[in-house]
Amino acid sequence: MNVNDYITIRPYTKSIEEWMEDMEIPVGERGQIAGADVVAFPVGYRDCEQAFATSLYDFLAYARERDLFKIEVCCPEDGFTELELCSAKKRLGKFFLASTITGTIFWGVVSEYIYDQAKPILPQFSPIENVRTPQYLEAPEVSFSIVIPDSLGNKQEITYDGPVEGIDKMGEIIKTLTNGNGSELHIGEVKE
Amino acid sequence: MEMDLNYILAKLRSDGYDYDATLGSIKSEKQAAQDAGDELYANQLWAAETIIKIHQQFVKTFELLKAGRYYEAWCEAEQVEINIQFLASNSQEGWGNVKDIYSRVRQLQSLYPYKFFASYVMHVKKEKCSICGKERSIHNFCGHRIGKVYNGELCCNIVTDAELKGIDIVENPVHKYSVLFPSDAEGRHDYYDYTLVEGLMKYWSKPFQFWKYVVRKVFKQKAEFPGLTNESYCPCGSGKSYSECCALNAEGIKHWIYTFMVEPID
Ligand SMILES: [Zn+2]
Ligand SMILES: [Zn+2]
Repeated sequence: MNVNDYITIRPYTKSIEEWMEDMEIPVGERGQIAGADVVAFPVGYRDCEQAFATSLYDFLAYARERDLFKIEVCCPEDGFTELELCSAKKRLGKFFLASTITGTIFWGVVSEYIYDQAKPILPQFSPIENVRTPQYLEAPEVSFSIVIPDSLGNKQEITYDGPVEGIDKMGEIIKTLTNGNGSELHIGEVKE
Repeated sequence: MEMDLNYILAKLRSDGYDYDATLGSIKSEKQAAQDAGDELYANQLWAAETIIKIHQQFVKTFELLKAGRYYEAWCEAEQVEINIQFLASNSQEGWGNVKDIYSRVRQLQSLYPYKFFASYVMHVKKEKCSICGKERSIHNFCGHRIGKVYNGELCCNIVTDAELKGIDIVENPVHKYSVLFPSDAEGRHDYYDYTLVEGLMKYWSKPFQFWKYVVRKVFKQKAEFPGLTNESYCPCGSGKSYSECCALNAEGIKHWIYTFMVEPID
């Protein structure tokens, strides 16, 4: 489902246990990952399915500094690899939230981080009237997705891929999903 | 006694300023601060050093433009941009010193004809921290964040093991220098049309002189282009044939007039 041009929501079926199996997490480390509030999943690319997003590492450092929730990476210690991709977009990756309770707090840290990263390069180039702004001068972009359980125990993946300015909408959706009971209805309400 | 950084920074825009000399003295001052473990002062010196480099690179950009070396100027401008971003994320005060340079660089970039860039896809397997040399690990953070300054040095990633996965063509690249150029046995060719940059350089005569530009859209009539046929490339520059482009437009042929405004210098 497309909420707008930048946000998509779809059901997510893969479980954290399946991910841990795929990532070959040693049995002794599984409890720690499964017990975290937030778990980062790989984003993958062609033949490197187990690679993580480029900006994840820095986000982890930021989130651990803030220390508001327990965040883990679904990856064995020596298996962490990253994908460095093309365009100048900030890619945070995919995050699995164990419970809806974490939703709002996690969103607070994600949005703070994104603004903190984008702030230095604001103010942006002000578009010149009558000419198309080249893409490399456009406002900074960001992408990430959040997998969140709804009250029925199903998981939804909400993906954002667009300009930094538009992320607030994502916050509204997360709030609705995590406070509500019956996600479908609530997603429908915020749809423009 | 500490150096008077404000005094130094106030002079950076004077004609013929010797950036290298100042960078040299800042460097030894920074070394002394680092050795003494004065992190706050070392970081201030890093900011001053970066501000000086930004000015120096901006002057270099201007000189390359004056010499008609447009691609090199583009690359130098990218260095200015990168340094400004590092500065801004570490020193709000420092950013204030170069804000106007940043907006000049962005305006300059907007006049370039480049549109497509080569961009690699890299699978990074191992990297280490430039500050402490520790390998990046998901469980044991060394505590240094990329792009932040520690004891007067910028923290970067040193990639020690990576595999190239592909090259993509993008319009918003990580590296602006990766402009696509056609090449053959004789090497690379620069067929880009730099008319707008050339236009600017007719009026921009000193590096720190303020300038801006505006664009006005007008319509021209077919009669103003002798020899124009339906099969010709449309004079509007769309790359389409005239019959498929502005011939379909009742108002006429699209035309843009760029007006450069520069601050008078005495
Ligand atoms: Zn370190
Ligand atoms: Zn046309």
